[in-house]
Amino acid sequence: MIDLLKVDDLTFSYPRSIAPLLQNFSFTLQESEFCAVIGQNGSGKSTFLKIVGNRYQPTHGRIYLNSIPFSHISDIQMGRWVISLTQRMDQCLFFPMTVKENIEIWVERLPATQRQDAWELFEQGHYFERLKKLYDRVVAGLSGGEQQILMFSLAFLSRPKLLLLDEHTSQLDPQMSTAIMSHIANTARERRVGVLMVTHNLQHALEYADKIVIMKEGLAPIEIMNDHTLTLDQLRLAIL
Amino acid sequence: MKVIDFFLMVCEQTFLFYPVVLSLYISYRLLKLTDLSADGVYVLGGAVFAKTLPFAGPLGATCIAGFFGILLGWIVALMQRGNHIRDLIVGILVTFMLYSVNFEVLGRPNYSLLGKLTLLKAGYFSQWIIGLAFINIILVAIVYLLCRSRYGLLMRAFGHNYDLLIKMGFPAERYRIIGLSMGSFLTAVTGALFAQINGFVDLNMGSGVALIAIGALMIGHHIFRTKNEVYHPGFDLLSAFIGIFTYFAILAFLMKFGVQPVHLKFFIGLILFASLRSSKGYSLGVVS
Repeated sequence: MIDLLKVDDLTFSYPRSIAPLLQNFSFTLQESEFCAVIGQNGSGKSTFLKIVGNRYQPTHGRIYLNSIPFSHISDIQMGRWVISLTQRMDQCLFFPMTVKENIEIWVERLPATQRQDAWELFEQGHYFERLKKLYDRVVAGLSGGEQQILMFSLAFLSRPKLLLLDEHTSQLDPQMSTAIMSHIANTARERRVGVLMVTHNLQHALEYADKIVIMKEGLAPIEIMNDHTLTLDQLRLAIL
Repeated sequence: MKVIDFFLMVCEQTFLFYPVVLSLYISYRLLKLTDLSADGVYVLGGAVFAKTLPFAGPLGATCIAGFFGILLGWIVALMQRGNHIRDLIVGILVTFMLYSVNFEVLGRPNYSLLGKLTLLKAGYFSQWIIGLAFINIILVAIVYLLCRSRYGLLMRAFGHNYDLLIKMGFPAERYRIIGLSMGSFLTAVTGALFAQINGFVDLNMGSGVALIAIGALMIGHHIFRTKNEVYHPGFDLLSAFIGIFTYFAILAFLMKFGVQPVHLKFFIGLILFASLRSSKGYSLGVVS
């Protein structure tokens, strides 16, 4: 297996904070691997995701993507390889533009030689028929579920290597949330995309993740492989 | 004054100003940047035209003025780079600095072009209004094609969500440079056309140009307001034309009813305020 993401001896402190939020943390994620990051509020889950998404610089330590140090990857390349999606869909979609225009923009980010393939890939997608009916609708006017479907269909369009999800289903009803999670897990496996998901939904962590990282404030993160013998109660206890 | 004469007069003024509205359309509507540097660039266009006319000829001098506009747009884009300084402040700063630059180019506060051969008197067109209309058609076609192109799409994306565009790995600053350079090109060319038609260049002739263009966009949007949020560049460019036409028509009415030229700015201000107020969402960049 190839190490898609390698976090080596990571330490991170916010400016003027007394103790580091993350200290000497090492972690690897392989191709097609699905990892859930859980923990209480303030434990550093979202901060970790932002460091891996190259939005925050680590205080100490190095991060590699496909064995290339982050510092050697250009912003444009990073934008293509790593897709970061949050519950704030206005941070992931162009709200005042139509569905079709959003798709066109996401296709535009690809090298010219891959654009035709991306359109074909999109048309073969699970939700294509549903999205096609919404082509001329402005994204701001879509329901939350429709926006999520669009967002995830677009996320896989550009063949990313790593997908970062930050509590992305927290505003959806349970039915839609399960449908979206299955779609992500299946598509990520098919297209060999690594997924790092921060969530408060322990059920989702148990159901979809290959491994789970538990974060606690002031303590080193614990990494456990999910062999599907773990129970919800065990997880609840672990994060306390 | 006959109705047809009144209509023709308003049309002349509209054709002579519409390219500036197109310029502000690109910066204000597509990129959602309030670029007030148009006030200075307008004068620069006229000044460069006046000084290069003797050796470059009318067509060459207009092209050189346009080139200097592109250069200025590029400089403004670099000053705004990364949004470290607010677009509004950059525009004011550039206009402030251009006052000195324009004086150096002209060599004096105003410069007469009377009796000189200009683009619209060089025999290309039988009447200058036809020439102006022709130039307007070419410029609006260029802006329309830009809006329909991938660059137009990405410029709108820049305006709607700059951070997302960066996050997605797009060279967002490139779209700022293209948009502002194109806008400044249009403004400088309009300044050159103004100088040719009116036969002079004055250091203060650009005062309020950007504001009037933004006001025209507001008026047009207000008149042509629809519930359809989907973007149509043709519809937008037509609404901008209606906006500036309406503005000059109101101005002509005010003068016809005896308002003194010195009082005009007050009434123009009231008109612009009313249009800004009535198109609140648009002015804040909320409405697509």
